[in-house]
Amino acid sequence: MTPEDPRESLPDFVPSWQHLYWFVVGNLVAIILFLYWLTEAFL
Amino acid sequence: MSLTDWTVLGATLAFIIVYGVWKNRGDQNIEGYLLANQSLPWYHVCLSVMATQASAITFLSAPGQGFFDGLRFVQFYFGLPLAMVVLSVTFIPIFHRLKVYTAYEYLENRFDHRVRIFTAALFLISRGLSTGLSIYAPAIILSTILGWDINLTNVLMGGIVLVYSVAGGTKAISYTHVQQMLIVTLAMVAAGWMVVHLLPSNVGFKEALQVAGKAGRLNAIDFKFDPDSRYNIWSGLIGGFFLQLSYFGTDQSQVGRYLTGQSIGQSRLGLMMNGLLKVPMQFLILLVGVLVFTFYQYNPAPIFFNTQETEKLKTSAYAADYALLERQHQRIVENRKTEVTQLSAALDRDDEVGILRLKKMIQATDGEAKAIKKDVVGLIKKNNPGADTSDTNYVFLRFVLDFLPHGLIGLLIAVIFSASMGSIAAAYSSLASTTVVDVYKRYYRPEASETHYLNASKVAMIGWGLFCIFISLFASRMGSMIEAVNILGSLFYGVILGIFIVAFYCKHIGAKATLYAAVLSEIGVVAVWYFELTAFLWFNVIGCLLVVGFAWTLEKLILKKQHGRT
Repeated sequence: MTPEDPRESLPDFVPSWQHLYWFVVGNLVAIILFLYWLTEAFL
Repeated sequence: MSLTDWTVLGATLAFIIVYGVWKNRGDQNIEGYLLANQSLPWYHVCLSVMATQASAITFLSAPGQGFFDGLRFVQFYFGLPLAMVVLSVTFIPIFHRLKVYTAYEYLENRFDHRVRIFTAALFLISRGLSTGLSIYAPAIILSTILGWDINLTNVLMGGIVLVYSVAGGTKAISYTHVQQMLIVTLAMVAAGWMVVHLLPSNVGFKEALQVAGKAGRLNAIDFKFDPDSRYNIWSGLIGGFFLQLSYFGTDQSQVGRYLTGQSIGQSRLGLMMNGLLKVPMQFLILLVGVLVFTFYQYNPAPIFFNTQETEKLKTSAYAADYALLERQHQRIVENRKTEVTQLSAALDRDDEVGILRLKKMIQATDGEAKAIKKDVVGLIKKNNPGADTSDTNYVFLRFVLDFLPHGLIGLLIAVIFSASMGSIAAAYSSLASTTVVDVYKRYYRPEASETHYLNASKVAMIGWGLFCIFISLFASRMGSMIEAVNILGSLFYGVILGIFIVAFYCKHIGAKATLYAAVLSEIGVVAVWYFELTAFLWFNVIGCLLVVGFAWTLEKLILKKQHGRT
């Protein structure tokens, strides 16, 4: 968030960035685990 | 293609173009033309970024990659979500706050005009050439399979995009990206569903995966670290991270997309969503290819999917050799069907010994099929040295034309056009904005009016469009150039990223050290490529680290020299 940018005050969907960053990384870890399962399960 | 397919293709393309231009009707200024007045919401940013990255080759080649090589290519994208986080934390706020039109404009604020023009020139050379090949690559496949004239296909592909890009600017490009991505998603889901539907009645989705898994096609993750292996989890996470960071952070065709976001928050959210969606999307495209592989276990596959080349062989001096290979291939087709049918039965019975035995047999047959294909490629090369022998690009299109219903064929050809148009439009726009903002306005007409720059942008876009179409026409006579220019792109990306990393994170390093470091690093990366020291994905890491290392050292030397003088 940058308070100097007046457009930030628009009613956008603005989530908590820290949480979103961790969510994206967590999603990647979940995908890798799923693909690892897929690789092993159908060998 | 039937009349239905032509109608679907024509209507889809006309809808995309007319809608895009219509949404951007009315007066324009330079900010509107190049940045869409920074007015677009996050979902536009997300879809626009995705449409720019996904070229036609993504939808032609990736299923073929899944067919021949399994799922392992998905690892190539693992670095992307991490790169999106870094971009959101660092790049987006800086670009937005400085209100730049291009990424290279920032480099003059941080260093000097020499670093800016050096980086912009690297971008213009690599992007100009690679866009020509982005037009050519799908055009050659469409013209080969459908019998269209290659030059006409090139002009049509590059020309349609040029019309709406020049007419509507960035906003039209962004609106058409949204339509293109929706159509691409719809058509690929329909194609995936159809593949499963076309399998034998006793083979469902799970059984299809089991067959693909036993044949080694569900090899999504490889933990083994090998610098020479193109796709493993480490090259994907580390090499892929640097590649995606340089592509999204420093390539104007991508920077220009997320700078259209109406705020820092909306641009960030667009990239975050891209980070969430990209890997699953690539996985699903590869999975379609894997399912097509399973389909061809139960149905006769052609010996070579680019059937135009094998037809030529039948009437050539190598006809007898080819006939022999064809007979061997027929035997393999029959064996394969028997083996997978027995495998399905063994899986139903949970017969572990039988499953293991059949798995080995299927893999052996697969090996034999690959050996025969290699011999066919040898004959094709002897018969026509200029032939396109990368069969990966033809698998999916051959399957679509031979087995999917009319209407869906037209829609999938529209997908290829749409994907191609999306990435070409973004490239045209970025080439025009870099030319006008970083070269024309900076060095030739710094004080001209808004209208003058708007018109200059249109002229630049037409100029670059014609240049790219020319390259595509030229490329049709130089098939091997594609690989060379792809490597050329990866030679530059790491160095450009290194310059930006120094700019953002090494505040004490000045322009002189950075410029010399960039030149030295470029020589270093070219040497790594020339002596074939490692796989190309690592060039980005090496280029970036070399720039940072050289710049750091040179800055110390420059400071030491200055202290010595004083």
